[in-house]
Amino acid sequence: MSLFFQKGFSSLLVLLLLSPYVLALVQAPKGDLNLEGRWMWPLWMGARQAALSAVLALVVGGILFLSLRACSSYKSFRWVRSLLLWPNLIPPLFVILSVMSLSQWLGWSHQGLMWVILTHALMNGGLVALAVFAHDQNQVQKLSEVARVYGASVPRRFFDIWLPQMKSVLIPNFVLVFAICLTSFSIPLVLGGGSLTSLEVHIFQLIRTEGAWSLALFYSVIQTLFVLVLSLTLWKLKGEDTFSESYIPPSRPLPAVFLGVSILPILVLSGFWFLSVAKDFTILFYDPAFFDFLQSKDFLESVIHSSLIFILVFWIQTFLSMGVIWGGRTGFTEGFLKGYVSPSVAVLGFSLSLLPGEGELWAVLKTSLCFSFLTFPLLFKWKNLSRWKGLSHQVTVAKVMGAGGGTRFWDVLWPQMREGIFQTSLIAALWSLGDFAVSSFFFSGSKTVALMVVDLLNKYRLEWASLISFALFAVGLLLFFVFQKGLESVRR
Amino acid sequence: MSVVKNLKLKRSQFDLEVEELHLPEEQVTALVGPSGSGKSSLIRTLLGLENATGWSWVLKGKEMSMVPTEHRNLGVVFQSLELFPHMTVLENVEFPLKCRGQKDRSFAHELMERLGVSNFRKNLPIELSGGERQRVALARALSFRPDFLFLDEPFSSLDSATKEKSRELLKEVLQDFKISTLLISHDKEDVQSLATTVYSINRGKIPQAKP
Repeated sequence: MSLFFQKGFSSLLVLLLLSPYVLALVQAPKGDLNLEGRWMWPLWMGARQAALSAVLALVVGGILFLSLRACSSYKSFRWVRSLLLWPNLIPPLFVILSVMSLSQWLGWSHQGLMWVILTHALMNGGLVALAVFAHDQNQVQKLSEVARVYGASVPRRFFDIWLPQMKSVLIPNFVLVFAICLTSFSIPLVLGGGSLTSLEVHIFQLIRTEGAWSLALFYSVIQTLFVLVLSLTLWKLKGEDTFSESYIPPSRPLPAVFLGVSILPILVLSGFWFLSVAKDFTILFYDPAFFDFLQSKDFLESVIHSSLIFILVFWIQTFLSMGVIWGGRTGFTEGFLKGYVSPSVAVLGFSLSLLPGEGELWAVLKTSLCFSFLTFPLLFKWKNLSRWKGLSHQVTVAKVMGAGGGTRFWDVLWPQMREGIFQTSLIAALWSLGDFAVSSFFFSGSKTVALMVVDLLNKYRLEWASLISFALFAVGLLLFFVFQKGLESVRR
Repeated sequence: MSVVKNLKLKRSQFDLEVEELHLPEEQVTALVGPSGSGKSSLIRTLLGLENATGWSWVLKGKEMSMVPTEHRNLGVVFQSLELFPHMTVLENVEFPLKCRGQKDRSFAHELMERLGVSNFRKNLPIELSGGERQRVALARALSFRPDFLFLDEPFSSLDSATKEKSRELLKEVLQDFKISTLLISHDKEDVQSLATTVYSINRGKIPQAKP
């Protein structure tokens, strides 16, 4: 009986994650698929942006790798690694604000393909650097040492050993960054301006401005298939584990000055925003209009909606993770989660928005659900899947000893996995605080803090937007640290 | 006889301290000791892969501590062999000659013949058995006639039958080429059949370091 429920639960979860596809298919017949002569154009433009971003990310990753090679201890390695992963963990809204502050400082327009590519490259360069470092540490460093003993000069070691060996890391990382940038939505939407820089933005515009569901779905299916092929390629290529904790201090670290390179992404993607906040704070402190705005009913409403989304996303993510684990580690569930690719953000968002349920509370619920569907598979794969696999022998032992499904879950799995689950749930909830793309499908007007920030940006109130975002960011950071401390005390 | 003097290296668990280490010429010296006793650190320092200052080792008239690693003319076979996986057997063996700009490859080819790996010259290391890979690593280490050879647990990954054969072959080759060698091994049989001088190391110290 217990097995029946477990299997049923796994299937239900799979159905839940597949439901966006079903919803989108239901909507599709409402418009005729009208492929005009230049239907390949959006695909080409999206692929061009993704390819250029991936190439630049490899270059940036190569530069950032030097900072990892300059680490002489595990402590400094952890610091540098955190700095490099930082841009991947902060919501795109804050990244966009920093790039806008930088462009304002330079006196340039903040919109265009160049900014999209630069932002993508800086956001993903750290991932590339960590993968390159892991491979260098595990294999290449020793080969390079042997080559040195045999008389190879620095250029020969680079061209004959390092570069050929790194091919096996650079190619999968190119594919990974290409896939991430191809499906990128928020950054091309704001920084791309009106130009076609991402297929996802094109899908969004097709539905929002033309109501062309069939065409949007057509592009969404092509994108999903493309990403699926890329995922399979990545699975075949088997790159290094970017999030690996293993670290062997190098016998000859690079000079400490190279450690400074690690702040490059943070400087561009956060630093300029912080600088503008510091400047704006002194000006706005004496601006009564800003304080009136903060006390307005609209602002209060947006804070309440954002808080509710934060709480809901946290718990939906937690329950989804618990459900997957409780359902048991079957080849089917694991394979599904590994290969699962969310449909396009736009298609998913618009599909859910057409479900019954009006009003702001429904919008909060739909935003939370949509956001969880989009982030759950990625976060679960990143943090919990390998841990779950690692515990399979303990579960078998417990089963042999007569433990039922509930005992195996509550006494064996949950105590060992709850920390990782809560962490990923918190990350998803923090991302949702800075989300404006998903919530824009369900709310009309600026009804969340992030949507309000974007609205202010459109009204050229960069300084107001900047300060409100900073408050949001600070709250998120505070929550993260309080939560971490809480987890640590529970662990003790 | 070459002598290593005043070698000191800070390690996390203990310090490697070698006041004097006598290495007889054209003979095999073995260094035995438990895991983590500093054997590999000693080899890495002599190769120039670890930073140690104030030490000296005069070999064939050259003060090795002052010479960059790539110009020391030393050969090494590590426990993990470290064959370049993207290069063929031939490219691996010829790699040191390529680094030195040597056009004459006849000795390397003769050595490959002698070690029985010339039939695999176009194969990648991954396509070879453990014993074959071990012979390729040895051919690469000797192909440029090094002034000194380091063997760090060279047979540890082989089964006992292959180990026996490899040991015999290595003994013949070392006797023929008369190359000074420092061997690190856990295996008593390796030490007994190959070495003429044996030192022991414990917690970074070699109490008796003269033959």
